Amino acid sequence: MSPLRISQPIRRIENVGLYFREWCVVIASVFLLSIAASSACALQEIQLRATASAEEIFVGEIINYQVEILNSKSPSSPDLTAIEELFDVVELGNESRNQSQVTFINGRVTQSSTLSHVYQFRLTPKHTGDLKIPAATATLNGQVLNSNEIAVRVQPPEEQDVVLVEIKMDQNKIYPTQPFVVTLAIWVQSLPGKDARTDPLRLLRRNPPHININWIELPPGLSANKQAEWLQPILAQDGIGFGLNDISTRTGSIFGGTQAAAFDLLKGRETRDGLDGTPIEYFKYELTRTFTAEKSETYTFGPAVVKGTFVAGVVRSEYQPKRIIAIAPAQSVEVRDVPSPRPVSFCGGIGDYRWVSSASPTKLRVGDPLTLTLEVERDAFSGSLDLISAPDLSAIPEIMDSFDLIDKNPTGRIEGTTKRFSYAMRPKRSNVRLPAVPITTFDPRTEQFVDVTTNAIALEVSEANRVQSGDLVGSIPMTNSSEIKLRSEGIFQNISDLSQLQDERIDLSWLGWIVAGTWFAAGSLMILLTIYRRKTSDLKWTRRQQARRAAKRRFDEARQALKATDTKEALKHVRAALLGFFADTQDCVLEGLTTTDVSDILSNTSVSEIDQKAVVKLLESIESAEYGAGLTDDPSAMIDSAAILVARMAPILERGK
Amino acid sequence: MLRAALIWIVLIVNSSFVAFAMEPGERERSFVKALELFDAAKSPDDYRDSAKILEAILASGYRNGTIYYNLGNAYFRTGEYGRAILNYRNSQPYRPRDPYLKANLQQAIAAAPGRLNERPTPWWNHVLFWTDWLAFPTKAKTCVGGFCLVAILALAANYFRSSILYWSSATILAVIIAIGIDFGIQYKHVVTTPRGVITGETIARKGTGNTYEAAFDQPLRDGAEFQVLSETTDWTFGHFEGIGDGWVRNEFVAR
Repeated sequence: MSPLRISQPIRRIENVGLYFREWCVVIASVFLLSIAASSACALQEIQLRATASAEEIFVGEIINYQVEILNSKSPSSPDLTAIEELFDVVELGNESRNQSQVTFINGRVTQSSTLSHVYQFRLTPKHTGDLKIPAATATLNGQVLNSNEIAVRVQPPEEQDVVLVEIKMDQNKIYPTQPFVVTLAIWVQSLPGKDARTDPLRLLRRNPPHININWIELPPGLSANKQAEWLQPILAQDGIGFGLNDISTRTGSIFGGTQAAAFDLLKGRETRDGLDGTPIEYFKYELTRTFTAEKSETYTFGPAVVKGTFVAGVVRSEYQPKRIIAIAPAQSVEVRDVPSPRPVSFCGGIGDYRWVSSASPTKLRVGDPLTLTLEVERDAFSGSLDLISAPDLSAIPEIMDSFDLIDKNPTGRIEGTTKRFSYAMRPKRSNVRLPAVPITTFDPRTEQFVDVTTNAIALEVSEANRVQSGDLVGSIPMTNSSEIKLRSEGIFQNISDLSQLQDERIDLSWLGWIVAGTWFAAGSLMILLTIYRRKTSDLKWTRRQQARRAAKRRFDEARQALKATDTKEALKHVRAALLGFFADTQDCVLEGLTTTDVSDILSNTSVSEIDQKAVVKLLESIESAEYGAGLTDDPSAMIDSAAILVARMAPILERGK
Repeated sequence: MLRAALIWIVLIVNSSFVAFAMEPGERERSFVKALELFDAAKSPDDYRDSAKILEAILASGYRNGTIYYNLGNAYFRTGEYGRAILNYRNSQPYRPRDPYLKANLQQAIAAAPGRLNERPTPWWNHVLFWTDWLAFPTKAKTCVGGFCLVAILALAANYFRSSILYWSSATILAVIIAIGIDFGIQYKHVVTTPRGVITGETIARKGTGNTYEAAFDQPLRDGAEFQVLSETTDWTFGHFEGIGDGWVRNEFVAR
């Protein structure tokens, strides 16, 4: 068996060596092929290929335009300057589509590879008619390349009164941080006949009409609530509604995937005049979003496009479908700066605010600290609280005359729709009050600055008493008493002693381990102590433990006697050592123990027969010598062999075996 | 041998308490900076800046009664009495005999617009009469040291077969168990912070939403202390002494 066990690893090592060589060859081949393939690609001509998603569209619709750069290892973004004259261009990103394929067939390796990089854009035509998407250009390896041109027909929207679209702004002129609402209103003609009260979109559930607007993503410079917060509440669970840009939801199907999201925008019914002036019943849908302008600029919303197949009439009791594209022209809102010059008391507020003042404490002594709090609350269409700065109290003579203003320009704290400014001050004299604070805000409706005043606050300021040692706040009295008389104002000062900074954390696991460890150690020691005591009180165990030492002592005495040439005495000690050893280990009486007894004892133990015979022979030799038969062996050798026998038997006999 | 074992235990117990204090002087520098800001403060916002530095020291999990005390002072100066009360209360387990802490806490409670009735002293505080004498870490050290001492005394009693030592270890064990119970009760308050405080005017509700009825006939104000019974991501359910239970939004709660 052993040669086989050795040969297997050798064979495995050989196999590994074989695989390693094969793989080296394969990897080297692939590497060389890659170099060859890339060289081959480099040799191929670099090309620009343009494709468009449609050849015929309505104005306001979009075209997905794609430019593919072939056979270039370092492609760069194409230049669409020529296209931008006819179309609005939005870049959608780019991706590498390089492909490389290596095939092994019967040891022959073939390799093919394609270098391709795709740039995608969204084009919105600016004009109607037969247009040509001009060539995109790119400069690659110092060479200017042009893509192919693409012909597109852009049709004007058909004049119709089935679907009407409009973008509405609640304000056309606003000021920074003022919110404004953009509404896309859509009117869809009611179904003819008895279904006039049914939502016309109900019939279009399988193929809902689609809205395309440019304010789904936040335009730069505007802020609004998050897209999910805005659209989630109007998501149509039953699928009846409008699709919106490319927003999709996850399907509930076990196969997963996504589907275009439908949004329920129904607001009610309305009657409007049709193309021929006759009143027509419409269902009205609205999509609204509130924006806040962060800076002065003009923002444009639209155009908005609604397209889909709608019911346009009835022929022989059957609804007549018609594909309709309705476009709402763009609307804009102008965000203006607050006019200058501005009053000194202008706090930065634009719109309506409610100001409330309060003071704490209102009952105090001259020189005591006092906090004046000014709270400003904005209404829903007013500018941000961030713009509002603390009113300058130092400009109010009555305050400066009566109070020592500690902080003239607090930063303020915003909580929800409220901002709070806290001024620290001290009254300079008794019988003063906090006067009304004048504040100026800007009213965007009238485009005028408006003055408001807070309420005046009555204070009870009494003269300060003569300062006594107990009145000092901020100094810790040198007393050991824990009885402290409370002052009506102020607190005791901070602790500044760095030595009190020790970490006072409690790590229970650490402490638990210490206690457990100590108890474990103490318990273990107690158990060992108990075991030791129990053993020491057992005479049989004690004799057995001392047997070897007693025998050794007698062997030493025997050697001493032998040195003194007293062979007889030496042999007596050897005999006593052996018999004592057996008596102690077997817990029997030493006196009267004979060689025969020892032989019997040993036969009941697991001591080897050779040792048994050796012991019996040794004892018999000693006994013979004692009785004058003379010694056949060297006494010194006898002592040594007796000691060796005892050492060899001790582990067996001490265990009582 | 007994002496050597005692020394060994004392060294280990102490090392467990100083093991955390190994960070370089960053904490001390921040502490001094907070003191300087406090001393130079002229407005509530300056005091708030000082408080922010102290909060940052505690943010790493470090606990110290002095920091809590100074933090309470900083919040008191900003006029945020609820937060001041909370920090004074947090400081109390570490500085139980500090009369200035007690005075400032009473001052903050008196100044807080939303103060409620004080929670009655629990009966076990009368039984465990030393609870306000010993600092929280001292109780922990005493418990650990005591338990270790009991183990050594029991071992010595066994070795020397001494009834005096047996009785001594049993007596010490009884005392340590009592201190341990006190420590356990306080540990719940110090570590799990079942108490909260209102930091701004808010209406307590009967459920976790603004659509639920108001729980009380008046809004709660800064400084109203309560016992936390339950909490969600946005709401905390608390027992307000003397008025009842209600849900409050977490933005108005400090713990």
